[in-house]
Amino acid sequence: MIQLLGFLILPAIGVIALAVKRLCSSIMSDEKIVFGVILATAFLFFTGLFLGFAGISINLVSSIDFAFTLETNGLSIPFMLLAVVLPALGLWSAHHEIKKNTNLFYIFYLLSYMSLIMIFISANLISFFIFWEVVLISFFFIIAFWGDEKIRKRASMKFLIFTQFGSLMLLGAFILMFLYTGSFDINVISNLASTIPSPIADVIFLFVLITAIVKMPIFPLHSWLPDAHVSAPTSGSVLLAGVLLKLGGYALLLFGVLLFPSITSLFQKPLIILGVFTAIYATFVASTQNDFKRLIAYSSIFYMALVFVGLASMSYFGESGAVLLMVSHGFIVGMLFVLAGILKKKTGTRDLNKLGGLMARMPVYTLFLTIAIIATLGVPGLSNFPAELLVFLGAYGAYTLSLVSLVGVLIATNYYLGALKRILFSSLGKTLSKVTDISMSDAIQLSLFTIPIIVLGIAPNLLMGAFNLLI
Amino acid sequence: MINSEYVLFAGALVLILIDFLRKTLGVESKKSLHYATLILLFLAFIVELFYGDMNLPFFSSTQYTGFINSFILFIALAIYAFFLVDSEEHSAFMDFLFVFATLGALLVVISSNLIALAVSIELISLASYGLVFFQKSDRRMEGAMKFVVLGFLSFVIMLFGISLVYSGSGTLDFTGLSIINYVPFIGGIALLMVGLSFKSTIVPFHMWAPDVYEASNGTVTAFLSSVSKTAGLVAMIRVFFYAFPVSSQFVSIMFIILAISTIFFSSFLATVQDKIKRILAYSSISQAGFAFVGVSVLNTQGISSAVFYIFTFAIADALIFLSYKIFEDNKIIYKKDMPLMPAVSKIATICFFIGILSLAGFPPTMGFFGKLLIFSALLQNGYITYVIALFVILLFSTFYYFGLLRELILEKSVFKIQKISGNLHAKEAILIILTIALFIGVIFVGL
Amino acid sequence: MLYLLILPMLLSLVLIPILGERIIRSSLIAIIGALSSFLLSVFYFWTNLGNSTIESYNWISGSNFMLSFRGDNLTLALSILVSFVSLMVLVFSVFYMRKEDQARYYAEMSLFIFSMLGLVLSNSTLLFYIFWEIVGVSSYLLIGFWYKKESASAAGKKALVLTRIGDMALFAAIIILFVNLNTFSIPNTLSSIGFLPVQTLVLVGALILIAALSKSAQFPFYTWLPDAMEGPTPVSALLHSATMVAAGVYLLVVMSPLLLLSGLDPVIVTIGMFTAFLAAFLALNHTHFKRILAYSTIESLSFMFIAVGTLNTGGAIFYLVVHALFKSMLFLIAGVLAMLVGLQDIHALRLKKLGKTWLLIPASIGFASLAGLPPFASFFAHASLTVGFNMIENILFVFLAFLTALFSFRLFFIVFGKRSSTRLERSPVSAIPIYLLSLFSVVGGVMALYFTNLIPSFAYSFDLFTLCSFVAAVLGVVTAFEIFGKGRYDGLLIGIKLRLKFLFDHPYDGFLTQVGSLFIRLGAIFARFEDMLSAFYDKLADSALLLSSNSRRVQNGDTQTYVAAILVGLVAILIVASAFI
Repeated sequence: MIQLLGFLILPAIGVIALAVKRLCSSIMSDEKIVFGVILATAFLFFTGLFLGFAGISINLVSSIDFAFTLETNGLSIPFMLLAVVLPALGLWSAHHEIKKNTNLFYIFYLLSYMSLIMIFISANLISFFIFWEVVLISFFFIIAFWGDEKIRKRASMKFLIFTQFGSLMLLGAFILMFLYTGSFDINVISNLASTIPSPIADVIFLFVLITAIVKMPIFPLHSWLPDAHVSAPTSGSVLLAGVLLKLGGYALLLFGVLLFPSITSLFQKPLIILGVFTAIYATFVASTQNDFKRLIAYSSIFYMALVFVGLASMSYFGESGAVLLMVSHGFIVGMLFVLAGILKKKTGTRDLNKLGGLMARMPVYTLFLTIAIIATLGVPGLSNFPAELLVFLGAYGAYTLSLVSLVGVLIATNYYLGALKRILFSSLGKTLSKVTDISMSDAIQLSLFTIPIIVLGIAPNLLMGAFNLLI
Repeated sequence: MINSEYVLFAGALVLILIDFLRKTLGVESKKSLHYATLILLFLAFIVELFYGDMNLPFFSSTQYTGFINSFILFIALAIYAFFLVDSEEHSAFMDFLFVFATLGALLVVISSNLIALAVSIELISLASYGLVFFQKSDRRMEGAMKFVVLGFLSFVIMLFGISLVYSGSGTLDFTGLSIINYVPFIGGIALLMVGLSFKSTIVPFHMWAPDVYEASNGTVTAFLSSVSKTAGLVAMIRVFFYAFPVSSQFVSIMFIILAISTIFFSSFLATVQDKIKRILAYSSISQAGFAFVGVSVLNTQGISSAVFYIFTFAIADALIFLSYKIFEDNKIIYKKDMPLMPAVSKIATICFFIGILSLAGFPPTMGFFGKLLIFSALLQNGYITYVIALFVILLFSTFYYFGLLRELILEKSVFKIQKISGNLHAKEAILIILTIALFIGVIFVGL
Repeated sequence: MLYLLILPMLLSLVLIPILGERIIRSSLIAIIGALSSFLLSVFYFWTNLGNSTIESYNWISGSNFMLSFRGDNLTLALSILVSFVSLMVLVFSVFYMRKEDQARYYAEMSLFIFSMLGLVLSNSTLLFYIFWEIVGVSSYLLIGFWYKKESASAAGKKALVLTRIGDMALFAAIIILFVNLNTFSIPNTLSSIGFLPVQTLVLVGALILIAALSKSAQFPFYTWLPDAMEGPTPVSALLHSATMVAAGVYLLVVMSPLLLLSGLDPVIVTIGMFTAFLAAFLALNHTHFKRILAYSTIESLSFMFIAVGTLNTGGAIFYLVVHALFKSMLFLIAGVLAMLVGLQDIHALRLKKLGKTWLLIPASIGFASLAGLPPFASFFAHASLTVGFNMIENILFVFLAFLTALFSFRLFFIVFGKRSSTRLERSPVSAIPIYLLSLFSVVGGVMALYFTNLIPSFAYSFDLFTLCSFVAAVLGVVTAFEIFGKGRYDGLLIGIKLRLKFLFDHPYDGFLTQVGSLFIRLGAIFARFEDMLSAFYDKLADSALLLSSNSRRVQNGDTQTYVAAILVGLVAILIVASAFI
């Protein structure tokens, strides 16, 4: 059995080591520490998959039921997979990109790494919320300090205000749950959720829903995301799109759909319509973008909207498909952001109008970009397909209209293929004749992204077996 | 029966004696006196921890007084220690003022009679005037003058209110007042509210605060914004929760209005400031507003959440004003100077950072738990719209707090540390202790 | 063990990047793969004759997600066809693609063939869809193979975007079927569609029809297919014969009971007829060799659609098989011409005087097959195609036979009309596939006898209209010879120019562009709204800041103001207090 506390202790050691190093200076390089810590954590996770995980509960303040309770619930494993693996892959990009204050960057990165994992295994809502907020703060600084010079001030603030709004809503929901069940423990709450009186339960559901709408994000509270992505450094974007957005889905599933099925079913149709509208909206907006990163950002809104639709469908297919889609999209969008980062690094621009014909210069890059884009379009054999299949199966069963979001897939096909064409094909841009192909280390990083995409595409069972939707 | 108030009072007399002896013996160094003050405060703290209660006609303990007095003494001790490290050769008079101001705060907390309360408040006020005054510079004179004039105005209003209450009820004792079940003295209560609001920097009676905070020495600011504000807020609790439960409907509505306007107004003002210290001053005002939110619930949960909230922000305020003192000495005045902070002291920067996080209510600092308690008290009593309004303001305050933190971006620059008065490491140690308190203070939740 | 049939191509896809060119030539890997697929198909076909085996694998546990293969006469015969044509094309590619990026080409081809083989063997709608999508993607990659050409990458994108409309339709259809029937298995689905409400049935039928129309390049989706000419010619040869476009027809054949029940068969016939005429006229108006062939493919596919629409699935399949053989051969000929002569325009080719080259005989077989002349296999295919036709359809088909013969022999007479001693190089890798395919195009008619045993629904009849069609075709050939064979070129046709090209080629493309730009405009509207939303949030923040800076005025450092504020507050509190007295 692997003690879940290890996921707190290992990164915490890393943070402390980095902090001490900052104050004193030592021999180990920052990167070695971070990589060591993350590898050790990943090792812990994969061993745990075979040996099982052991929970822990430390009662800190009993009067407000503040305990430090770690245990895996039915959803932990797929999300932990994302939270453990993706940051490690994203970190690869940090090496080239982060030039200033690397030490501090790694501290924030490790902090958010630790907290993201902890969120998925915290069974006490207060500790859950603590880690939830630590992620937010670390991310704010990652954008504000290491973001794109021009827009980082605005983008970071926008990110903070929007997501903090979501967090406060979640806090409100948690407090209400506590007041009406007398506990902050997830298990107790889920047992007593049905006893919460109706108007209060409605308010809780509404709060959780708003949190999810901000975090995932869903129209109309999504406008922080593109700016945040465009501003964030690549490794930050990977973390943001790959794991952070999934927090919204996780919260909605855990505290909304599964706790209050009757309310969800009451609002099911409006929710699905909202999701479908967001999907179409995001793809339309995405097709007008010229910045590759912004395009990916909008298209990730599209996929999160599909997740939303899946969750709102309240069926086994829809919900498990949504979880699968979150995991799959995490890897794919992470890969796309890494590719966009490489593009910027190699050519100096992400503007699709200024690119073209890069396939001649970058065959290996082409291979990976093609795989990523084909994967994101939901082509069978790659991980998005089973996820979308399940989501649509569930959603159609719930509401016929949800199939309309397939139009979004079509538009996505159009703009993604367009992007592919504008970046890679046709004649080489004038300024691009000296561009070189990606390095070996980039190729390794990208292939590591590809592995889960292919494996999950062929055998989604590996993941489907790992979670059950009953908490 | 031994008690911290006795200890402080007796100790103050002893200090005067020591100073007298020192002068007659012709010893130049005032060090012994300063250390004696420190020991005195420490002693009082220990005594408060172990022997809390007091039951006299005018002064009596209630549920929270032991806790409040303990943390007041703790903070006072930390501030004084910082002050001592900062300027070892300050005047002996400062020591007396400091001890008396602390004593005043303790007495406010345990006073159980309106007259005793008024006198205790005046004790803090007078001592504070002295503390602000004592550093001689034109700017400080102006700040201190405002402080004195407005302070007396509010005191007079408060006294007038007390007299109205007396004329209506015939008693000034809290227990006596609490059993009266009609409200003949609502005007008196209103005036009392104004007087007390002045001390707790509630809008629109807060206006002196930013000017005075800006004008005074950093350590004095820390004292004013933590210890004396605590006293003001606790006085509110004692008066309106213990003495006038009968007027609770009026008080509750009034408090909600005052709290909301305080938080809103101060948050607005904080966002448009350029000077760090003024931002901190306004943030301190808005913190008082938040504590007031807890008070306005006027039941046990509300009061206990308010007490805990006062505790959290008192420590956080003391922490950030003290750490800012270090930076202020190095001419880091405006927001744009903030990148230089780490060059002065990394530890102080981190402490400052954590202090701000706590004020902004972010976990895992205690500030989060303070807000958690307040929200849960509000929600338990059905104030959902109130909570949502607070969420909006919290977003606003997040905006300026993080606007401040965002400036911390570290640029490699040539920067010479101008002057660190006193021992930097000792100061940092004090800051670290306060920072740690900011985390482990959470164990006092629900006392 | 049916997965063994598709495994070789998958292996080849995996092995080519690993071994390709360094240890072993990629072309060899792919050819060995296709050959083993072919041999295995033949073996299975032989041993399983008349039997039907189904193999199922559960994909996602806890649900009914079966991926199953079906091995019966039909599927195995088609897998023989696919692997055979693929083998021929791959062999030809050794000749044609010798100067290109080998590994990439053969890997993509392997994926293409793999997915098509999988598609014909699928027994569950889910598996069918999986391969269906991969077919589309791999054709996208292959059409855009010459990525440096703007037109090639545009054509690839167009192909995938247009066929993806059909993909999504099929996806939706499968989902609707699964949600209603809780099965992916095709036989189970077909046996229980009777329980579905009519509107669902019509919806599913329409979605499936859209899928087939887009994949098989029928109106209104047909424009991607002529553009797909931008790909390497062997790719076209494969794309136009046994793979990709055949998938749409195959889908209709498989789903024909559903289409029948939903009452969509007249729609299929109408669309098929319309597309056939359209394609024939367009073929008459073009001068680009491969483009004319592309239109002829569209027309042939329309024939198959009409056959399915007249409930004659056996005829459709038989025509599919025969068509695959001669059409791939024609494309290989086009490839030889493109490679050795370097020209695609038929008038330019005429000037090269190709009349005596070795290509003449295969070409004449091919074009005669296209025109449905006896004794070639195509004649029998036409006979089986028309079994279910009613009077009007028959009459229209006679006209079509005339037009088909006219445009195919127009091409033939123009290109091969001038005789001289020009000689073309003949290498084994280019000649053997062409000869083999033409051989089968000739003797394929014998298969018709055999097909009745294979597929129960297959039938053929020689009736009055067969004769009429034959006469019409001969008439077409004669007309073509009169007009084009004698070197009068398109003179006559220019005179009677049907203007269809302008109606349905450029304007239709223009219409599609309009639709596209409509979407772009819609996107722009959404984008503007997005900007407004963003600006709204900014305004919100700004107005709060404005409020802040206004409130700053009150706090002006003046003691009198402060006293005034205290008094105002006092009065306000007293006023509220007075309400409680």
